[in-house]
Amino acid sequence: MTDTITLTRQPLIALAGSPNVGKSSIFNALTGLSQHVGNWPGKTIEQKSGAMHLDGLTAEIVDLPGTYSLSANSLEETLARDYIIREHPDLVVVVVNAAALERTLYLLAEIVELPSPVVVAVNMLDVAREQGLRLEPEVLEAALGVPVVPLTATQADGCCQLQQVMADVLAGRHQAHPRPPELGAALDALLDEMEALLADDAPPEYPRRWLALKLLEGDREVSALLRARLAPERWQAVDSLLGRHEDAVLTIAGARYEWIGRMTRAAIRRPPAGAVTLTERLDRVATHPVWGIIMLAGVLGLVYWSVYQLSAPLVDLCNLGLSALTQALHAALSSAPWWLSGLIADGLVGGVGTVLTLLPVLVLFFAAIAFLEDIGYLARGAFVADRFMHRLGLHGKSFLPLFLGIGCNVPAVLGTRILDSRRERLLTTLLIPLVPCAGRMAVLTYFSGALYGSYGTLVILGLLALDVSAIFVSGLVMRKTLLQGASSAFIMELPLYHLPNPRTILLYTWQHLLDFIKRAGTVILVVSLVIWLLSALPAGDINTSWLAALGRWLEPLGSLMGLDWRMLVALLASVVAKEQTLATLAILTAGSGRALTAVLPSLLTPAAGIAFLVVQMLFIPCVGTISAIRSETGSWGVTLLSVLYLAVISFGTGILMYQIARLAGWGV
Amino acid sequence: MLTQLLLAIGDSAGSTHAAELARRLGTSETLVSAMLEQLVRMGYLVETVPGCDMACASCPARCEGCRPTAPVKLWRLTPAGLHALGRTA
Repeated sequence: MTDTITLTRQPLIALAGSPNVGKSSIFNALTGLSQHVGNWPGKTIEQKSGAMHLDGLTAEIVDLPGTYSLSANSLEETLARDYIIREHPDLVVVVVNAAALERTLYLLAEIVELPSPVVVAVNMLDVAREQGLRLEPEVLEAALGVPVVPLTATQADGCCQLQQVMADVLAGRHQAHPRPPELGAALDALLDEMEALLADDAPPEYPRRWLALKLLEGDREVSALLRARLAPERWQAVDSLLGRHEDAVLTIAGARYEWIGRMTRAAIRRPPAGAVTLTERLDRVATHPVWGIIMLAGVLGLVYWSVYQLSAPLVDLCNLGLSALTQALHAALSSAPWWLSGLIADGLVGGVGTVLTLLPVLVLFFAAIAFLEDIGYLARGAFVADRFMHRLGLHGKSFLPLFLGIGCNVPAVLGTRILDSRRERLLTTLLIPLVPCAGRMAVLTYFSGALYGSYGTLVILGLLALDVSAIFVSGLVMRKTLLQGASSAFIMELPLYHLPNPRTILLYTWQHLLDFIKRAGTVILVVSLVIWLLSALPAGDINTSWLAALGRWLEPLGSLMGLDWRMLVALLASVVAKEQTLATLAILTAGSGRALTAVLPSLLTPAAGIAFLVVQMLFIPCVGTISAIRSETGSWGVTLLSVLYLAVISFGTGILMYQIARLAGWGV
Repeated sequence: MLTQLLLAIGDSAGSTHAAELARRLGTSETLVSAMLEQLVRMGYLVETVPGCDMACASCPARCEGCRPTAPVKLWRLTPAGLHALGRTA
């Protein structure tokens, strides 16, 4: 059968489709070099048209801008839909993505309701095959009631068949019976009512039912068009009908998605369950309300345990090297003035060098976090923790900024912008400094190792449990008192689990280490030198120094926790940067001639050590975080409240822990 | 179907995700993802980036290693979405 096309004008074909479905590849394959590129009339958007030969006749084909629907949400969508609606093409070829039919069939759901004949080009078959999806084009064709052509345009596979089907449709050799989405009796009745109201006043170039549909979908352009065309009382009736059916837009779109669901279920064969549901099977545990929390606690516990176990010997080695270096420097500078040798050996190398011994801890910590993020687990952790907090009555979504605080509190404070209300932002901002950042954890790991040796891991895990409790209790108290309110839902995208990429992990770790080294070489270096000067002035004796005077002024507070003035000064110095605690103590104990790890047990009893670690864990954040709180809340009052709150709960909990340990007679 | 999806989002305790919504609606995760995108286009949901890339210019830390985005991508209901939810609930 070789009927020729019998049209009174040159056939006009529109090529439509959502963005990224390979429409341009099909256009190029169909037109070859016969293309014309210009702009849409009066617009700056590119218009591509071309000539193609079908059954000995030349047809014009226009590549429409990519659009998800026929609603006028953007200029591209308006151009595409106006062309289809007003130019009445002889054929519309709708390109959909075989690997993402659910995302790309919506446009087709609208176009099949229009009078123009339709051919569906299901592109990207190769991508679908790679994903294990198998398309059954005959089934899809039967379900849609319009011709379906499977193809891979990038390999020109199926393009000839598409051309043949297009020619058949234009020649009337293919009888189509489109099966558009069923909107339901209630909506059909509503559409009839709307159509009746539009009556003969509707612009003739638009199908009346389509105009009624778009009005119910809340299309602003169509509304403006009809408001200008209809008599005021008629428009008032239309407007009143629209007001009574505000939710029609959801019903209409929902009906289209039900149709899409039916089409894809019929036409797509998915791989056997076992091959694709590794993520699902893992998520049955990882996102389970109970098992997920247990797993998260286990994973984080394992991370901290591994970091501690692996880094402890390396930190010891670094400390040995640092001791040797400072002794060598003292020997080399023995003939130099006391202040010069002290400044270089104790202030510069002793202070900053001690901070740099944290490198092994930080490398392992950042690598572990990067690993968890890269394999896709961190998102699950955030999800289950978020839900857990919600069950406790806290605003679940507050946990997302809190989760960011694990690396650094500053971006976490900035992340509170995602929260809807000022109350939620304030609550979360007040809680974020309680999340132990990498710097704080590294310092705590250092102290735990020096003070408690093989029990250090247990101490770290205990501190984390205390910290999590402090976050929950603080959150609950604030929620029940100052910051009451309702919460709203979040939808998260959980990535698929996959094998870790070593390059990504190395890059993440390296970038964070670089940041740490820069901080050590700038802020910590300068503050270390200032602290050394304050500890040496006015007479070169640390015990009569200005710093000692400040520390002794605070000693009444320290005595409640068994801490001497040097520990209190080190705590205060942590406000510059958490690692500054180590630099300060190294400077203040430099006279012993031993590494800080060796000196610490003589400075702190086990009970005082626990009190110090508890205060350090809950203490005021660094100036970077304080500055972020000020800029995000715009309030010095809130910033001061945050600092005071943390000072009170850190010292309060530290005193409590010390007194309990003292009463129990443990290591006082 | 979009109405049911909106109701399921509103009913969720805290956060939810596409696979869970798909289970509740008895449909596929890919269809739910497509519907979520539709709700974004309709202005009922908005994608939210809980990371410091929102505010690098005002960040006092300026860390080299700052994570550009959070480990999760998420959406929340807009006032229009909450209004629609209120109508349908």
